[in-house]
Amino acid sequence: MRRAGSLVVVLFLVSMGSFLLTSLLPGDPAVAILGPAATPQSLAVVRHSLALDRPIPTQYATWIGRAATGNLGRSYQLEEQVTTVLARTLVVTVELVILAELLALLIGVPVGVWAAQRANQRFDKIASAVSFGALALPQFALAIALVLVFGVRLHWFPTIGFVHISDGLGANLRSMVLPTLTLAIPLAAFYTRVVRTDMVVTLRQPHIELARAMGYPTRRILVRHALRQSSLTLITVAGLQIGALLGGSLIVESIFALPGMGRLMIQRIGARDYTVVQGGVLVIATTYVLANFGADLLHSVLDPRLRHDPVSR
Amino acid sequence: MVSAGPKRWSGLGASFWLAAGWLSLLVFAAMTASWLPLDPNGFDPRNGLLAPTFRHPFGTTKVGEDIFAIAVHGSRVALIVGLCSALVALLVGAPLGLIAGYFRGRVDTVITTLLDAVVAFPTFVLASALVLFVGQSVLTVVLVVGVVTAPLMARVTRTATRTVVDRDFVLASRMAGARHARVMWQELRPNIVVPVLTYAILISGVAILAEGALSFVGLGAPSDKASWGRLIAGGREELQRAWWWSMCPSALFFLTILSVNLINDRLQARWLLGRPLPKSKAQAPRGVAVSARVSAPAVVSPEVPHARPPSDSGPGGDSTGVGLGAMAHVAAARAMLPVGRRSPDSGPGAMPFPPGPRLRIEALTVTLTTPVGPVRILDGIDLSIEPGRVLALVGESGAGKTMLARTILGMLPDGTEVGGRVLLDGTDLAALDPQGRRRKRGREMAVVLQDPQTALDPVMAVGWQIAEPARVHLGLARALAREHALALMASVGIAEPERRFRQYPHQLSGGLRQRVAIALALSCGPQLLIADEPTSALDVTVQAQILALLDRLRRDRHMAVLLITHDLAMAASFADEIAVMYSGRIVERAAANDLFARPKMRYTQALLASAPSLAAGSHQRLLAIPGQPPNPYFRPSGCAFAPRCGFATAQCIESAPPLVVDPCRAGPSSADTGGGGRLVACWHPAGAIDS
Repeated sequence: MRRAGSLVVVLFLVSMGSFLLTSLLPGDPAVAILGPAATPQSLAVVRHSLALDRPIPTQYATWIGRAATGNLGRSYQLEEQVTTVLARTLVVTVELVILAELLALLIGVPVGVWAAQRANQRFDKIASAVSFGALALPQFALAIALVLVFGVRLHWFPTIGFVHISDGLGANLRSMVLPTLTLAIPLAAFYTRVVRTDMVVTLRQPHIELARAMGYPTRRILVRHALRQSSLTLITVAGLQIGALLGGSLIVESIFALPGMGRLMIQRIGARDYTVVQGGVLVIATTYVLANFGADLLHSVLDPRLRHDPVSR
Repeated sequence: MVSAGPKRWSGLGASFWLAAGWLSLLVFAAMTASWLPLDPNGFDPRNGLLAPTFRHPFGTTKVGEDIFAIAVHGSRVALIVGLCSALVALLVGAPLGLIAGYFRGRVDTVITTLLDAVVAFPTFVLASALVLFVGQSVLTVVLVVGVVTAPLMARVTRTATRTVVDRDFVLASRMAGARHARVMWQELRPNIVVPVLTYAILISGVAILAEGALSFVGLGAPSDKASWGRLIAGGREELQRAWWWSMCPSALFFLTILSVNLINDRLQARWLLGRPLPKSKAQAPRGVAVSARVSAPAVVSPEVPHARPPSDSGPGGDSTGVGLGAMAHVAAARAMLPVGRRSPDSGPGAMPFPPGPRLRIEALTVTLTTPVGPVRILDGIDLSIEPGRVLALVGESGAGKTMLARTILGMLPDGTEVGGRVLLDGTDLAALDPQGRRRKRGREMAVVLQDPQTALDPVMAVGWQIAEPARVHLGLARALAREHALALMASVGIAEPERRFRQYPHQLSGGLRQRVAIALALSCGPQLLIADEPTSALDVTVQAQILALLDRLRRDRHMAVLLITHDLAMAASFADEIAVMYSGRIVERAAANDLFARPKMRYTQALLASAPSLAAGSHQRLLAIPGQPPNPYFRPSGCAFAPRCGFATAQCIESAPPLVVDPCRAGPSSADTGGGGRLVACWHPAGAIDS
């Protein structure tokens, strides 16, 4: 498995990058902890206690060794384990990402399939124009527009704040509606276009012609034959998007005041709380890499042409 | 790089020019912002939060700044970031992708792995880190966006490179000893420049968006620079009272990104539409490829189909019993269907095989609706096939053979006009609604297509593909359909059906695939099989086996077969009757041996003369038919073959000859031509008293 080998290398590079990125940043965590008035002696003590006075390779080795056992260290400032902080915020972001992916697929796939079936007819043209427009919506502008319409004007949904699942699923989902929509609308447009483009090609293949010539119902042809083949492309694309959403939910989180990963990262960088940042970047980047790898793997499991012929990749 | 010809910019559509217009306006605004009477820093607290008016087209902020003025100045940041980031991505990403795609192997792995690692980093963390490193500036934004987008650019370039790197002209250049750099610049670059440049356009859009997002969270343009993202962030606090504050710049973003995407989309569509042949400075040895295609048509001796298939193809001949078993399944399933869904011949009192022809086509004309007007594709086709007999439809490509098959199946494009009748077992197919026609397809008539490689679903096990028609049309349950498919596989001579059942098309040889396709077609026991060039994509040795199989099946199943082919030898050996098509008409119809021995119509003669034959020996030259088949848009009013015919007279050019019983029956009585006798559409048939 050459891909598994390169996965390990990518993960190594990612971990090193996330460590270096923060260790090399200007700004001293010790100063951030003690304040600008601290004496050189006390700063040195703090640095020593945080192991910041050791050479960077040593620091990295210690850090990655602990990370492998699930210990990402303590936050300098939050008086908590980094993993605890990350877990708390990750729940929110993951919920957001899953809801957005689901909604986007639920809209994008059927619309894309039908647009391909009706290629160049009215439905396709409308779907194409709408999705084209939706793709040009910047996340932040879309979020604000949604807040303006559904929150400020119509008062349908809360515009700010997050209700935890433990405080009731209904309230939790209500607080997630606008953030989810913000992420899902452009994503649905994207999936619509991906599915449509791929399906149009698939539908021209002789085996689809044969299925029509054999009198199978249109729905069966679309779902069992065309979509089944086109979904292989979709899996790869959707895998990429999961990773991208995880790292890119910052805007939505900050507009809707969701206590998620993105917001945490920016706050902690500002506060020079580098252990949290290192851990967070490691988690996000690793998830991104693994999501892509998983999608590739799923693709090769689902596509019989790759399954039986591992050499050709 | 893109050479500007007069045609290159045509046909892009109005949307492209609107988008280009908007972007030009932005460029103009950015360049002239300083000279325009627009002050982005104009404090005036008395004019705070004014709604859009003529004086303030976008309204004002809380402290009375003119939002329009800020937006105009902000277009500078947007454009600079967009252009520079695309440039960074192009200069860093494209060469990396080109190198990775060209060298492949270890170089590719290293580059790809590195880029994968870079892409994995969350953009905002990267941006924050860079801001801390080098401070907040427009340059930082360019740097961040460049780092994030360069890997994407590299990926696109790599993919584009890989699609051309194995083409002949690249290989030729490499074999000629050109240096790598030279091959990449001279051979690859011209062929990847369009996808790469259009992607760069897309990236400039991404960059503009990214600048907005970064400025929105305070990591983008510094606070003394006017920026759209900053405006939107500011307006967020006053959404309740002043929607225009963030909505107006949002609209600017929307229009700009939309324009960039549109331009990318139109250029790409334009490029795909008019994609020229691969460009190369050093001309490729194209002749090699062309001459390799001129291969001899398959030579099949007339005796072959009646021989048994060679033993390596599995139990080909001895499966009649199993085949009948499968038929019994189908018959049982048909009997279980509710009356409404039964086909006419299975109704109470109906004979299993009603007398009369299976397929009868009467005066069929088909006219397609095209953008340039109606085009008659089929013109007055008459033919019929008795049960258990084979009619071969022979002609050059474009003669209308496949169109005829599609007409029989009822699979014509919308807006097609059909005249005449197509009767399947006495039922007029044209009188059925689309659903009714669909139910006939696959159940009462089935098709075998040319290339089994593409005609089978690549991601479905072949066994389930064979089982599918029975499941759809006869409603067989999964287990029963599986049994049915296994029996069918055995009956078409597939050895080890249990094992083959689970395999996928790519795991089978061409011959086996075609056997699968035939089994699939036979799933519901059709009375009519349309075989569209069923052996053209197969090896010569396998061709004979497949023909033998089809021959046995039609006898066993008493099935009428319409064989579409351009291979006269195959038609002669396998068919009972041959109909020669030319330009949408049948020009000659006769018993196979009769037609082969004594062609009447001049086109048939020419066709025969152009086919190699074993009997003729190698010293005889093959004759090519001069000229080309007529374009159906400009079909001559007389005999369509007249322009290419050596015997044509004024009569041929003036009026089209009707298809009539051969005026001078020189040959023996053609009792076995399916009742139609020998028919010829020619004013000067061979064998007539030729002056």
